[in-house]
Amino acid sequence: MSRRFVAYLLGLLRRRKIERELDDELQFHIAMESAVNEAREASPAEARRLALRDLGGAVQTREAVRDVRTIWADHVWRDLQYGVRRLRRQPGFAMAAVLTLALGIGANTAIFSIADATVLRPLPYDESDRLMQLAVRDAARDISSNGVGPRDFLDWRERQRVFDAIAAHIGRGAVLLGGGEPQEVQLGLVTADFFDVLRVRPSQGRAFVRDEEVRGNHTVAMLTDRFARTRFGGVDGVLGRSLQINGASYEIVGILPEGFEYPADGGPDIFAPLAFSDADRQHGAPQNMVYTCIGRLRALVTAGEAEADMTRLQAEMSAQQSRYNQGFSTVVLTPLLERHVGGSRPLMLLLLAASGLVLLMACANVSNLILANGTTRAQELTVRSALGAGAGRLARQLFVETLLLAGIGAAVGVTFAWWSLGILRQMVPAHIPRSAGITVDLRVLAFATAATVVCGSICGLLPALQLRRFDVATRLKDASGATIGPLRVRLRQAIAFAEVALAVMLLVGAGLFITSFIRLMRIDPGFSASNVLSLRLSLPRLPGREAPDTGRFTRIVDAVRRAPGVTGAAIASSGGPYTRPRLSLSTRVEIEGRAAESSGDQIGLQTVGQGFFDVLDVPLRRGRLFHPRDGNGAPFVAVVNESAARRFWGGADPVGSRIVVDQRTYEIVGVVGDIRYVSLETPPGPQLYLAMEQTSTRAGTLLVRAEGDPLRLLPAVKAAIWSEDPDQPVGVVATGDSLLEQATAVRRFNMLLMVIFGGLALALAATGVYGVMAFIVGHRTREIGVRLALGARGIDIGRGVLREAATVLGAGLALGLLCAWWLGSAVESFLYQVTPRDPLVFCGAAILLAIAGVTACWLPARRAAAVDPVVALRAP
Amino acid sequence: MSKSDLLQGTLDLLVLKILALGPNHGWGISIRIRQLSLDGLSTSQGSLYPALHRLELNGYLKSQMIPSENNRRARFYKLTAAGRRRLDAETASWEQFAASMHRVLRAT
Repeated sequence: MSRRFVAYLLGLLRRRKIERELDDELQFHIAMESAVNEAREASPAEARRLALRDLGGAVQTREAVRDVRTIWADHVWRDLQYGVRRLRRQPGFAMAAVLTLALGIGANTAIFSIADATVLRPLPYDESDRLMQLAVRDAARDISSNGVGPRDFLDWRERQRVFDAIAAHIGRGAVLLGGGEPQEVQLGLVTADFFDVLRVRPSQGRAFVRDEEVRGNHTVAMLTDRFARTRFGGVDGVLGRSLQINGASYEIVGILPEGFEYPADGGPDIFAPLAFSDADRQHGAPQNMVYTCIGRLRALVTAGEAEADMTRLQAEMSAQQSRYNQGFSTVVLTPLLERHVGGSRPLMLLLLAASGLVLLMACANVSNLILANGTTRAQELTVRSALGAGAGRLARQLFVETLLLAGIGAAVGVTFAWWSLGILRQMVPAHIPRSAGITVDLRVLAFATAATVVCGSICGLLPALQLRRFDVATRLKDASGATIGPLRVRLRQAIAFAEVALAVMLLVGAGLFITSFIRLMRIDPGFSASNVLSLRLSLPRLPGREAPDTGRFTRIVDAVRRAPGVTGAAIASSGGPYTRPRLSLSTRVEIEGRAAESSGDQIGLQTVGQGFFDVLDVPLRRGRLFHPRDGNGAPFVAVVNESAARRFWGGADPVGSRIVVDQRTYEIVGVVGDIRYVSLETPPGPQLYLAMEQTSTRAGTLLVRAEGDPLRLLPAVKAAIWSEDPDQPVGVVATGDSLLEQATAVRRFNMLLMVIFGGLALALAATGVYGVMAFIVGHRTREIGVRLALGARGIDIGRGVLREAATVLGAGLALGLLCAWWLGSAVESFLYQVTPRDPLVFCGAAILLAIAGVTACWLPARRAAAVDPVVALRAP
Repeated sequence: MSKSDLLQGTLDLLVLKILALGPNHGWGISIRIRQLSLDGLSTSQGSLYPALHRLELNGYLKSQMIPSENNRRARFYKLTAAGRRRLDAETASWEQFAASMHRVLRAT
């Protein structure tokens, strides 16, 4: 085959030469033959005629030789031209099929482009599949730590044998001064080998060296290309300049290449050396297990081997030196890609599966269309078959046609997907990493091409199988097409049945996601954050201000309260509402005057400033809130929420009693309502609120309640802050509403897409059922006419059709519900407060589909009931 | 067996056999078949040339355009190593077939 194909390709290039040579060859034959004939017979003309006759006619022979030399590509090309002509003759059929396939392929292309950009695409570094993150695990206690201690890292770096290089990094908030407004920036602190591990070379200047990992030598910085351009207006002449970071002057030594980002979009813009202290380098001292450690596997070393070798090294090191965190003796490697995007992979795979089902249904519908079309073209196929076209040829013709349809559908679908990406990109929840990179590129086009080929093959498969049973003799006898074989009907019913089953599954999925979202939106968080502006404030570690000074927060809040339009302001030591701040938990809780319980109950701790409960409208149930006298030096006071009151005082009034948490005694002064501050979905637990003025806090969130649109207040709030402290950076700004929206974005996104898929599925299933029933009724017109003539009533005929449809619908429904039941656990983790086998959702999906299905059959049934026996029987 | 009614596949075998005797052109092959079969076999020329081209595409023959006796260009075909192997295989199977036919037809 391959040799023939090469010969064919060469033949294409040298076609004219081959034609000429063939001519010469045959002419030579004729000349020789005529010469011989001439010798025997008389006239040269007669001799030549005989020679030609003998050769079977020069033209025919040439055709025959050409047939030998042409192979499938030529035939396919001819089939393609034929297919185009046929489609142009049937614009209605072509349009329906192309649109259906366009919807299916378009939806899949769009979803694939999202999934590819976010979770499938490799990280943008050279041989990124060799990049691993190293973590440690305490197998005995079943605890893992993604963070690695500095001593461990330094030892590993010196002694490991399985990585080309390893590096540690950590992100730190920092204050950037000297460029207009003070700015809070994320600083990427990295060890010297960091960029070697990633195989990224600075576009200008140099990377860090080991000497700069020492405190005192660490004030050098590398900038991303983007940051250099926005800050300095270009990348030239930036080297050697300096940045004021946390009050120290950092010299810029390198610029990273354009487009560099780590770990994904939204990574730090400024990198500085990770400087280890002397304590970090000491053995036996406590280690802060906070550094992220990454490495590039040495060539030919597998992750498993590296893991084993590193664990062996860890054990060796433990045996030689006294170590802190002895228990963490297992080293665990995770591919860097997995570490960054693994969290959103299940969701993307689910969406891909759902859109794949829609594509399958689109194929089924087109298959159905082709089958219906096949009956009208039976005549044509019969003639071609009688003229000697084998079943193989006819099947190839069909496949070429369906591929053509799929190709046009894909072109339309991809255009549609490309056009909708702008909207989709906005819909994708912001915290799904790499969502900014969603685009239609070569990978996506390759996927669309593959989808097209698969679609075309699936669509052509059933009609082609029909051809195997294609019998010319029966066909010719049966030219009127008045009856149809039971098999044809069976096949089409099977397609409709499968479609109904698929649609039910998708509808159940959509129903579950809708229910989840409704349950989520119905949650009463216990507070109100609309009209609230949230600003991140951190107290810069500037020289001379190393000790945290909460008095400064108090003064800033007072200044903001005086700003026009502000009705309240307060500080929370954690992040803003719904942002999943990490609140500390304490398990050592004692109520004074009561025997210590060893129940292991946890209580959450949150430090809040004056006015916090007022700004968020949290109701006070008993006692009082914090007031300005609860300051430094005054007795420690605390406020508990209702859950804590219930849990620890069992309904009795806790106000006035004392609670000991982490060895400090607080007097309970009030009880407030439960709120879902951490996230909408986290149920409130026992919570203890501490007064900010009595604790030391370095960072917090300023919450400002406004009269109207909180964003309009931003300039005034900033001015107030800077009037108090011109060096105070203002971090992430958000409104309460936008925070709530972000908190619900994932579920909204899931729900929207599943609803779109469910809707598409419903429409496709309805069209499919309609198509089958209309086909059956159309072909039974004569039979119906006979039955009517024999006295059957129209309404009975109509009922009969509906009954037949109901069988298909019912069977499809049953199978679909069964599959949905069986697949339930696959979606469980995406749901909120609804079980994957929620009976209401199942009923709803079934009813919806039944209604759509019956509606789809209504028209064919009415047509059947309205058949005029006279017309039907007289029909040819 | 009538002249034009060559059994399916026998033409290929005949062509390979003739070319095993030496390179030849299409007309020469048809003449040789006629001569060697003592006019008992003749090729339908309309099927000879397609067969030659097919055998060439399959790698059993090689061809070359060579100026010929009467100042015309003729295509000379030559057996390849693969063609020779094919000829041996085909000959063996043909002989077996003929022998079997013979035994059956001689049965009383």
